Amino acid sequence: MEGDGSVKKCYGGEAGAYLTVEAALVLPVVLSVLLFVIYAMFFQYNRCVAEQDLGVLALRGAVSRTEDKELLAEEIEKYASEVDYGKYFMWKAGGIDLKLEGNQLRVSVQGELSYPLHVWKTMSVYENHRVNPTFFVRQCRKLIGGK
Amino acid sequence: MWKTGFLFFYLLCLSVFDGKEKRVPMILLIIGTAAACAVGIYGALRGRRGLECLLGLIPGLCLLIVAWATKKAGYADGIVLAVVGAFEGFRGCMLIFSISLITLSVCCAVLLLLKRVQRNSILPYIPFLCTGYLLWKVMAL
Repeated sequence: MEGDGSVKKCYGGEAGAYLTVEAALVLPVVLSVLLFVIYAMFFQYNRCVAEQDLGVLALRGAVSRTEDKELLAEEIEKYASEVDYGKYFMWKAGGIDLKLEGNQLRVSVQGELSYPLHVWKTMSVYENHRVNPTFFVRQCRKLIGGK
Repeated sequence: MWKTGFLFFYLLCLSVFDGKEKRVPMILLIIGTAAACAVGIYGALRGRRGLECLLGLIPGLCLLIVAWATKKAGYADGIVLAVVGAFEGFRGCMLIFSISLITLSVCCAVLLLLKRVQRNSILPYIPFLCTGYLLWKVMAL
């Protein structure tokens, strides 16, 4: 450190610690774009998985033979509690919301992904019409003149 | 707390050398690497912290690759960033890296406007990393 101000003489070696102006301007842009793309993929993945889970729940609700609405709601809530949240990635899922209006079953869930300085939110909705295959087949038979 | 104090003091020491000569002594890098290894091993022995230390190395390794491929950055920057990553984990390291890069790019833009630097001029990076670390700690409080 004495004389010519070289660190090399004292410590036996040095390594460059600098960034060029060009790199300093380009790196933040590249980093931001990469982060955005990665987070967008996580977001899309989580949204798809949430929709798939809702689809399964709505289908189970639609094909259930339970007539009583309260029992049906309980049944679907039981299925909803079995949803595996381990497959979601960096995802904060809200509770699954169920609505049964007439024969129309509506299942929805909210979720959010924490992006640096911002939160990306989404809401997935799945609707299914409840059907009763036995009743439908009987009606068809009646139409064609059967018993 | 001791980790924060050590890392800040370490970055401050490196900043002094870097600010003066845009180079840092190898012995300081070796000390930092040894401390990072110690933190990693200690964390691994105590639980899941070891994996976080390993993930924290990623930004530093990426910067090393950029330095090797483009020669637009110094190798020491990557090593120091990896040391910071080993101490603070992936998320902390990415935030510190982002803050330091934003600070540096704003500084570069101002200097470019004032025509004090050119495209290929070199600037010390570790003082900005130290600033980023300090800002991150202040924001976390």
